[in-house]
Amino acid sequence: MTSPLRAVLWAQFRILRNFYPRTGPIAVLFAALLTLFWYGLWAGLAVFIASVLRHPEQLRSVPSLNLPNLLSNGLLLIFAYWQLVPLILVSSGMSLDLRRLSVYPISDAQLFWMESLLRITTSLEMLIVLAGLAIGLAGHPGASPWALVALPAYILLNLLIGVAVKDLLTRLLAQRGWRELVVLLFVSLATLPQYFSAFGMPAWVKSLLNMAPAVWLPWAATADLLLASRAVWPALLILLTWLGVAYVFSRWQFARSLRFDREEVKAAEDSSTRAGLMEHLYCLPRRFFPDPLAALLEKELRFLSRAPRFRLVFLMGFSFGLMIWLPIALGNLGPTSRSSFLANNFLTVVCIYALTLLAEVAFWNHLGFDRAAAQLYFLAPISYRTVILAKNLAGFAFLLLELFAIFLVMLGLRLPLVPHQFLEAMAVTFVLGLFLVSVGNAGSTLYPRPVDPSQSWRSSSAGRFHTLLLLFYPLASVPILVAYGARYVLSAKQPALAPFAFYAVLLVGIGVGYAVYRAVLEFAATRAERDREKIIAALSASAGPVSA
Amino acid sequence: MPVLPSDLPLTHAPPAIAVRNLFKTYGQKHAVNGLNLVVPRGCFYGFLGPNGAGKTTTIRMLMGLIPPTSGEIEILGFQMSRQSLDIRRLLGLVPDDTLLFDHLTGGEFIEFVGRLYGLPLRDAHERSLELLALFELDGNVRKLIAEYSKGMRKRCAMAAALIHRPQLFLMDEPFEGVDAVGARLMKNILIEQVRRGATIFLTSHVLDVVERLCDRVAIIHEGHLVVEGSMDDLRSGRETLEELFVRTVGGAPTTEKLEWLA
Repeated sequence: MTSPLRAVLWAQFRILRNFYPRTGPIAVLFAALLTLFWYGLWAGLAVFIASVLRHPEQLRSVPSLNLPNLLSNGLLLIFAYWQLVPLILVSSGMSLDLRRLSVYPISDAQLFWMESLLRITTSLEMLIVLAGLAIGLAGHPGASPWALVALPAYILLNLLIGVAVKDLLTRLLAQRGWRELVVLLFVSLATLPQYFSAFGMPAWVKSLLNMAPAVWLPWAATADLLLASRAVWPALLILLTWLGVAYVFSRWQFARSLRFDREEVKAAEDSSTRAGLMEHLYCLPRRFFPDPLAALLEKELRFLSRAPRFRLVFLMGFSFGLMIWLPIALGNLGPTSRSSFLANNFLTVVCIYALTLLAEVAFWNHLGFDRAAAQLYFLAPISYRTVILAKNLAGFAFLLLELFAIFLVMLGLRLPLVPHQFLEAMAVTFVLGLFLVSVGNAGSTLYPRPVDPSQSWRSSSAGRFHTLLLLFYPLASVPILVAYGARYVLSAKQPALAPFAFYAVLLVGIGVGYAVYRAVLEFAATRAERDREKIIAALSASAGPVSA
Repeated sequence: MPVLPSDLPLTHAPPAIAVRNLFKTYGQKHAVNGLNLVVPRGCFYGFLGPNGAGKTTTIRMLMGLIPPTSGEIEILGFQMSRQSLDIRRLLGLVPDDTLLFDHLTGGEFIEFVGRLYGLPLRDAHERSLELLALFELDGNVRKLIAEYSKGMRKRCAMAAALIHRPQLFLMDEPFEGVDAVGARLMKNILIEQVRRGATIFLTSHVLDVVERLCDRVAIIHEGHLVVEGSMDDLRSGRETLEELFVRTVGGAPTTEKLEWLA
């Protein structure tokens, strides 16, 4: 007999083995190097933690340092990273494709444990750090043998909570209304530390946290067990209770996900759909553009605005972006603070963040969302160049809406907003957007990837393309950096000329960006016509038992 | 392991499928509206209906892919609500092709499915190779399912459905996109399965295939069962299945023409 887990892992391995030889060796090498670099950084941190714990005399030089408290806070950070990073990235990481696997004779319990193990993929970094902690504790004179129980139990706790959070969110995010509400709630929670650091912590929060050490919290109990700093049995009981609660909650959430019928939710949404103001907006392009461009553009506007993934990202653009940067803008930051640049350019930063989020769904993989339509684009008597142009115009239309949403929210919150900041943010975002859309046109043609637009919590573009983006972003930012550099240099010598220099450089950036855009558009159109079979095949493919 | 219903004497064996008062509601619409159905064991059963009638919704509920809004499903004597794992062990599924894993080769997929059904590794591998050959998919063993034609995907799905020798096959449009040679091959294999005592429940729009293969037929329309009976009874009025189907579920004749289309 073979276990379903082994079968699923075997199939996933085969999929990777079948898939990677078909990608270019340079892309694979580049991705491998970046992966190595990223996890290398975390490995460095793990080595540091291990070294500090193995040589505790180094810690004694730091006054008033309490190792149990330090460990407790460190474990809290690990917990926060593990649970919050997938939320911030709007990505659930690897998870089982339950829709496909649920027809096979795999028990719910087996599926649940497989899913729990896959939660490791959302935070491999934390496992590396915990490995460093374990190695360090092995050589630490005060370490307790209970560490052998406590660390695996803490990892399990994180995995179980990860499953519960993922399942709960996946179901909530599939429902219109709830989706928006949940995002706002989680975004608000995620930005709390920022607010506390900027405005100070409310007294009730302080008193809650100062119940120090909060022994009833799982990280504190784990820390107690690691160092046996307090009575072991209560700490063990606390940790096991948390584990039990997390297990029951995550099994409940998982069982609900297994029985979740997305079609049912969709039908309920469809019955409540109203054609109103949006319908007028959808029809606007026909007033400005001739067909087929107008028809394609209208289709894009309708399609994107109805795609759950797009709606979620659009909402995050003006909510999360504002919330995360707002404390910096409003906080009590002195002029010498390193953050004063961010405070002065708050609006621009928020707009660029919104652009980055929107690019994920509107630029990087524009064929992936409406893969069913991809065949039509190649069959209909229209040039593929027109298709790309329509997709880009739709992307920019939503970007414009996003920027206006940001301005409206700022006005609503009565945040300080001066006209030149408005103009500056628009100009900078437009220039960067011009370059990014060019990168997206090339990427969408070279690395098409099928995406389910109903999946709110999944990455939309190919992983290889993501790694290449790390290279393109700095390049695309060059005109903006030069513009800011020019303004900075001139502001000391000839302040009156500084804004002119800034916008002059941005104008040159627009010129260069337009030239790049035209060139890449031609390249993408020609390439798409040439590789149409490859593109359609890539867009027709579906994932394996585990999807990322 | 529970005692399999097939191990009981035939007279005591519960039906392959028993559906009682089944509803599936999407918003305001009843996709399946109070369906009652009994499919005897060892039967080749055709489940027909026009587009949007509720066929696929019904078969997806029978497969356990979606839960019913209300009603009972009993398969091979097991209750779907309480014994779904026991049911899944006995089923062979040919669902719509989105349930295939495109980045596996056909052989890998069949072997994977065999392993999920608990076959030992070696058996799963050997059977996958034999099934590949049987379904004439062994021409290029390195070819990924993503590169298969629609007919090849259906053949691959059927090969995977056979690997654990199931007692009941649930098939959603198994002949869709399959060429005449492939369809003949699939039909022969299915007839063999019925001869050995398996039950086949399929949906299809190819009415002449259903007419030739099936012992019993049900026609569903707007979520309701409108016709059910043995093929012999249904044909007794010298009406073909197609004529019966159109008479039962066909819309009103078109009286207006589109002038521009003339």
